[in-house]
Amino acid sequence: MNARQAQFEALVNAHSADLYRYAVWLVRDAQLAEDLVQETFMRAWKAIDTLREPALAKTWLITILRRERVRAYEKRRAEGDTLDNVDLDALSAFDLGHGKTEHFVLRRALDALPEDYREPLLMQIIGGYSCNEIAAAMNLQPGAVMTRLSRARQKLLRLLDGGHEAVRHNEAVS
Amino acid sequence: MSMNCFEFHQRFAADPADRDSEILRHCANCPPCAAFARRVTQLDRSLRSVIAVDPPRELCARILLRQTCAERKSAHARRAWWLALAAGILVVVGLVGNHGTFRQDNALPRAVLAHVEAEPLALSARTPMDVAQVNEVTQAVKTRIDGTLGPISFARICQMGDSHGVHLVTRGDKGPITVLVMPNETVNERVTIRDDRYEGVIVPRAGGSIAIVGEHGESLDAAEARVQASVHTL
Repeated sequence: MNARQAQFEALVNAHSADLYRYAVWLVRDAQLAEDLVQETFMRAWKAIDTLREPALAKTWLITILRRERVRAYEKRRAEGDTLDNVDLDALSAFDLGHGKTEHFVLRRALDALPEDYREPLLMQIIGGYSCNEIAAAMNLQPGAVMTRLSRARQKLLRLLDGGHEAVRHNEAVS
Repeated sequence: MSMNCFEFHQRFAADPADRDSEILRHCANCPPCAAFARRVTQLDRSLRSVIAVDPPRELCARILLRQTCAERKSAHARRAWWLALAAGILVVVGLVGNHGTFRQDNALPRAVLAHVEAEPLALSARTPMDVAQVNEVTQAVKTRIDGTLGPISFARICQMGDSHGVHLVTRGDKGPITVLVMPNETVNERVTIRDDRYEGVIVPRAGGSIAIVGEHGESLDAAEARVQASVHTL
């Protein structure tokens, strides 16, 4: 196996799972998520010589995936398909097997977050992006990203535990 | 001016990993904000658990399969270009001779073996399918299977390179035999394939090819004859 192929296979093994998780939570469609991940890696293979810094691989892949997602949406829209009203319960990818009520509630709450809030949160938690990196990727000011991340977490907290003391304090200062 | 509770909440909820000294100082001196910080940290832990959906088990294999098939196609295209160039040069110079050997292309054999290994459940299927059921599946890629192939326990349309093909599993003398009907994957001649567990052949067929793969020691010649006789292009 040549070095280029070995590098690609290492990329796939190291990042395909996280990329899939990012995609599935972003588009909320297991099949579309897999398609996006496959397309992303096909693009990555063609451009693999441009990846100089292995530490940036995941960020690079997520950037490609975001572009592929825009392409996929445009294509589906052109075909008259809609991606709205996804039924989470119909998606086996979301069958986590967790019995915890908190996880169930959190899963619902995360899905209910507006995409403007959900996506930067996914980028931070799955992709390990900093606020500045998210701002650059989403073409936003860093302050706007911080606001979205902060609101996202505070919304989730309110949904999860409205009666918690810390949350009451949070609500008092918000 | 020191950080107030509102600023603390905004900054900590935006990035719980931020260990700025102002954040740490406020957290140490404000018990409600310290409780908020614990709650946010717990939220992130729970989020990681919830987000961590399992990807499809064969995701890596499918990605690699698609990439090796695409690479094989582009290797063919590159080879055709070089061949055309070489032929042109020969014509111009007026020489006739051996145009040399080209790189041995083993991407398709690797892709075939990767596909077999990516779908272990296909090999463990035991219940024979009705031939009509099989043909309901295979007709999507304009292929018909007749009853002479033998018992078929698995039939599915799979992505094979940039197009679709038929993935069948039948029985051999020693165990399951995988048959991949690949309408758009060409080979010029019969190719043998082998890894540390499987062996098989890829034979040209109607503009595409068919791969027949079993475990070491399987009598593939008999299986190949049955496949050649029972697989029909519509």
